[in-house]
Amino acid sequence: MSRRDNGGHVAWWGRLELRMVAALVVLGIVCVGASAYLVRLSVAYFDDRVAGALEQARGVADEVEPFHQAVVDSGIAAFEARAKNLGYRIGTPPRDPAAARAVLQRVLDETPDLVRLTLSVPGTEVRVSRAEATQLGPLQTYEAEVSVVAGAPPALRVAFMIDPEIDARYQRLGRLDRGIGVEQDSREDIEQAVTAVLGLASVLVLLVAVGIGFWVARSMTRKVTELSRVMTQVGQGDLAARAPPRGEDELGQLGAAFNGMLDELAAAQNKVAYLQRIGAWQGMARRIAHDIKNPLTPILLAVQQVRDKDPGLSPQFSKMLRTSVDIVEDEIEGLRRMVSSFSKFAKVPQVHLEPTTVGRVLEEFSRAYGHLTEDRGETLSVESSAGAASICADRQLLKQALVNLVENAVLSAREAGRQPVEVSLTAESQGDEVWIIVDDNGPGIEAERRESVFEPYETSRKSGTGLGLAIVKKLVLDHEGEICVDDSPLGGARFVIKLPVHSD
Amino acid sequence: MGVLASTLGLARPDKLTHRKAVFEEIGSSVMMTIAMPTLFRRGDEDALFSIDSGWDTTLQFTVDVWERGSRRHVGTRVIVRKIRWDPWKKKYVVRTKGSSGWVARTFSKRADAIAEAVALDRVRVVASRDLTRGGEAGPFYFVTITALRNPIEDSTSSKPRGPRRSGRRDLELFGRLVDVLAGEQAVAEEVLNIKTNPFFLVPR
Repeated sequence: MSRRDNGGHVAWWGRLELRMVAALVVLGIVCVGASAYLVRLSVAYFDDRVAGALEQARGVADEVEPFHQAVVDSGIAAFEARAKNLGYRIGTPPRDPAAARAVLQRVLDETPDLVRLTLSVPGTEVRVSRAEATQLGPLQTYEAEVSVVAGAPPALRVAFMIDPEIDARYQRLGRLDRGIGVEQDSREDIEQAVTAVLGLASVLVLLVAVGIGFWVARSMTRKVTELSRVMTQVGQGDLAARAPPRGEDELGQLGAAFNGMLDELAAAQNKVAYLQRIGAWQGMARRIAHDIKNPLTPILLAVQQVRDKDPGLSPQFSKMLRTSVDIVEDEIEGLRRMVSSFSKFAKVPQVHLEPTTVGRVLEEFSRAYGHLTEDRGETLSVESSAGAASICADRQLLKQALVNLVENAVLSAREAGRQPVEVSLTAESQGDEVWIIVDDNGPGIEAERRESVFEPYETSRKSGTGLGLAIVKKLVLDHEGEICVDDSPLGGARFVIKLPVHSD
Repeated sequence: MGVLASTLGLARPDKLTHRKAVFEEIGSSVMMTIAMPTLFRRGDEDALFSIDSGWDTTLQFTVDVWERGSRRHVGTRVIVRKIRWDPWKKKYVVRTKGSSGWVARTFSKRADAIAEAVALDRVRVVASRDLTRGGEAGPFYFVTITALRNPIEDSTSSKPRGPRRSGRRDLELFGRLVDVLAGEQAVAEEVLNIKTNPFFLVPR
């Protein structure tokens, strides 16, 4: 199966847009997949590290526990020893409960961590305690029972206050150990959840990337597709096809350059076609001029001889003969002028371009042909704001073109009855071109005739041959220039000759 | 004191575990007696080790009273207990938090201490005046108990610390997503959800 069918259409699987989107999707999958895999490895790596840290923390807690027990045991031993020592200090207690209480109170006052002393005396029990002892819970005191007399049964109970910080620290350790256990239990669930979140995020990123990629590919391939379509149309002979303007990027510039190339191609094609037509007309004019010009002289001589040989026998005949001969002579003169025009048209010489300035051409024109409008108050103004502009021209032939244009303007205005006739010849610079503009106040040229007016034998004047403007256009084209017609601010026609600026 | 315990039948099936409790009206309060031995499952070595290690094992009972049928919430009460081995006295201590502080009981045997810790023995669940006396004609009430062993106070695993910056906000969002996908976080080492049999107050 071919990617391109007979109609020139590309199969769907071979289309650039689809292939670009597919490439972007594959690229996105590879990138996102690789990224997700690396993140997954990172998660697993740090999870292992965290697991190790939790194990170590748990191990520390396990190590601390027997240490705490040892602290407690040593504390118990210390309390027992101190209680025994207190028993010896008290010794045989006084039988009087009040005296016994005083002894116990003194001992209580001297020992800061004692909270309560209870002594059994005959018949009763004497107890002294600190006021804050009632607020202490069972976990905050340690009570030892000792004898006050060697060999006697225990008679003294001593309650010590346990340093609350010992238990508080140990309970904090317990909470931390429990927290570690919770973290260990939930570690696997969290790892799976992290993986799931990363997977979802990756899919989301991939979808966004595919969407953007599709949009980018579409916008790019659309330009390429349109350019391809226009190229196909041009290839099939449709030189009027143009690529639509699409942005300022390289593809947009390519389309603009392609359009410019087509414009130039069309202009060149028109120019060649015009010159071909002019060449054909010139050939025909040369033939006609030759065929007509040759018999004119014998005809003229013959009719003049007839007039000269008139014996004058009949005045009426003689009058009719002179009138007929005059008519023939007038018509022959007309034919001579026409043949002369044909001959001039047929013999438009080849231009010999050389650098010159517009100012020089206009100056020479003004000096040589200023008389064209000297009659009846007619005015011809010649101005140039681009006099110094350099052009490549054949001065004589360019002047001839200007003469034709000015003559045509003057005659058109005269025929239209303009009083006074105004003709203006100006030159101005327009970028890399010089425009030589001929304005008149004649009848102007209708928009639909502005292209055909340069065709040979196309004229709207009664006495025109229709060759002057054709010669002008041929000369302008030979100068690598263009000529066009527009409305003039003077009210008539405006002819604009566009010549490229010559650069060294 | 009137015995109010009733076995009029179980409420409609529910997700809660049904457990029989004894309700008594003592004075102006309704007392409940119930045991929840499964808070410490047999063979749960970690739980027993935790007790023996001297660390507090906290039991938290959230007791809610509901009116049967209407599901009206009548009252709630939270009871907190702690059980641990006291290395100073070489005994097990069970403490219950009361209105005037902790009340402690000591036991030589761990099993006795656990039995004391997991039982709610004549604990006040609601004031009598908050209930309607209707006898066997109703209304009936029941109690739900959420018992937690070592409730997890604060799950800090996914909560970022520090000021809220853009990166922190992203981390916070990420943490929330992870929490959602990780499923329900454990609230305690052991959780029991219990629903008791219905009871009613006899008319006076």
